[in-house]
Amino acid sequence: MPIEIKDLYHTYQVGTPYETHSLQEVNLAIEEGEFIGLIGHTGSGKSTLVQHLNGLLKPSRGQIIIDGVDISQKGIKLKEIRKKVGLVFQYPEHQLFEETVLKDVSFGPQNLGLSTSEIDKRVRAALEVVNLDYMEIKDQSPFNLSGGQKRRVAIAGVLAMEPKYLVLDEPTAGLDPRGRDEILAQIKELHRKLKITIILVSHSMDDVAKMADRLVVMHDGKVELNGTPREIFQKPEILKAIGLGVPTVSALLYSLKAKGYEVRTDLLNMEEAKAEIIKILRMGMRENA
Amino acid sequence: MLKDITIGQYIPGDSLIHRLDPRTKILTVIIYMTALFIINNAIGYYFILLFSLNIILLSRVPIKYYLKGLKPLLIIIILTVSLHIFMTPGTVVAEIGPLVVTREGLKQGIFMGTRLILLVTVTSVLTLTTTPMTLTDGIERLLNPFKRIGVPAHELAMMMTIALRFIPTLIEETDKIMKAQMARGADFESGNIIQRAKALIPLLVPLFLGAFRRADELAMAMEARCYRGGENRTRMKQLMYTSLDTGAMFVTIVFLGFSIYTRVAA
Repeated sequence: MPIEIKDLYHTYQVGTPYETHSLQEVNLAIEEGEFIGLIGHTGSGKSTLVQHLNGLLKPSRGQIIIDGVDISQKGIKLKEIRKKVGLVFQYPEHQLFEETVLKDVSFGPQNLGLSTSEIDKRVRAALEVVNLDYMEIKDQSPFNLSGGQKRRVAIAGVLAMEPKYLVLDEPTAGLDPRGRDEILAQIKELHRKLKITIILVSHSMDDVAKMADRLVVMHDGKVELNGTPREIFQKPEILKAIGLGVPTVSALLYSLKAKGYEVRTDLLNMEEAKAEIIKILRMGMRENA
Repeated sequence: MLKDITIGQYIPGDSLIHRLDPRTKILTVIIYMTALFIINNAIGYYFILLFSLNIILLSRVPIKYYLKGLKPLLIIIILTVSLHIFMTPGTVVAEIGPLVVTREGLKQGIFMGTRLILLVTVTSVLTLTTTPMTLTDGIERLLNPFKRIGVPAHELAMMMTIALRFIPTLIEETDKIMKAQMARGADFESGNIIQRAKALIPLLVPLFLGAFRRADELAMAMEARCYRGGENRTRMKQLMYTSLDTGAMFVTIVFLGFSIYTRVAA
């Protein structure tokens, strides 16, 4: 199993009045090439969980095994782990610091100790993935770019390390609809073309429903649900109880069903829903006639 | 490592000390410090130690927080105590190589050590039992009479409040940026001094940018709400002077009188 989380606990500020149990008894296995959507609302522990995956946080209890190596052990080479597991933080543009885009994107590969030609190759490739023109942008200051461009440069900074597993913590937060769609499309592309395992953290059901093979729903530091989007969205009561709700399409189908229409509710995209609604309406007309 | 910063750390509670008005706490700490510097003999130190211990116990804050506050000052305390022990002339008690320990030196060393420790611990009682906001509120009210001679009491208090308010935010931000750069393979912990200083650039640039951005946003938000200094402002939490405060003031002033007595009588 490429990524395995066993019985993970994490407690913040142990021994103070502010002690909080951020993760409790988390068990999770992730296959190579999977696209995982990790959902939960603010404070559910999703950000804490992903920071364990490359050793930025140490578990209070439990194990994280990546490609057969338990990274919570002492004496583990964290650089090796961070090369394998790329982590894009929330608002990654806040980490930009260099004078030019080229230098900033090179920061990661440079830390890996690669040769100049290899670094250059990777920077070109990474910028291409996020749809930025290398020649045009390389000498610009990252601070003069637009919000969406900054975000893409920052993501390229992680991609240039060529991670085997890529974790993105709410990569679309604070972007306009167009910027959001572009980033999500590029992530999808990345998964399709390069076969990278992707863990996408989000609280937008609509985003993850379209993209992920499997959803992991977190609540109060625990894994509440774990399954395909279809399975998960069949449980609207549980999702509602933990403050998440279902994607717009499912919500529409559920309200139609509540009005007495016999529609299927396990559909995820607009096309499927459209076909289903038309089918039901036709049937209804036939019965009336 | 960032979690060890205790400036402005407040331990919630409902002890007698917690309930005191911040003005009382600030004034009694000043009176207490005066007493601490007046006392100059063993009897006086004995009583002030007893008095301080009572205050610490009354605050119901675990002792380990006080010890944590003393830790950064350990070197200064040791240095002061040993300087006094070895450098005071008088009756020789022991000789260690070229160093001479005198009876007067020992006495002086112990006194100075106690004075320093008490100074830090009792001021920690103030900061551990008062939220930073109430504390600046108290300072503002205490400085109010000096407005007439041009002391910008409200502005000073507002600056302090904002500074204190942003300490945890900046610590959190530092932590986040450090992690983000570590995720990109940055190394903050190894190498020689020059390498380490250089490694801080990816941390400091975003941190400063963030701080300026925040300051800008805050100024804008304050202006949008028509903030213009302290005139005619009312407060959500009015400071209340109760009989508890009168009692605390009384006890402290009596103790000050007693300290003066121990010095004069000896």
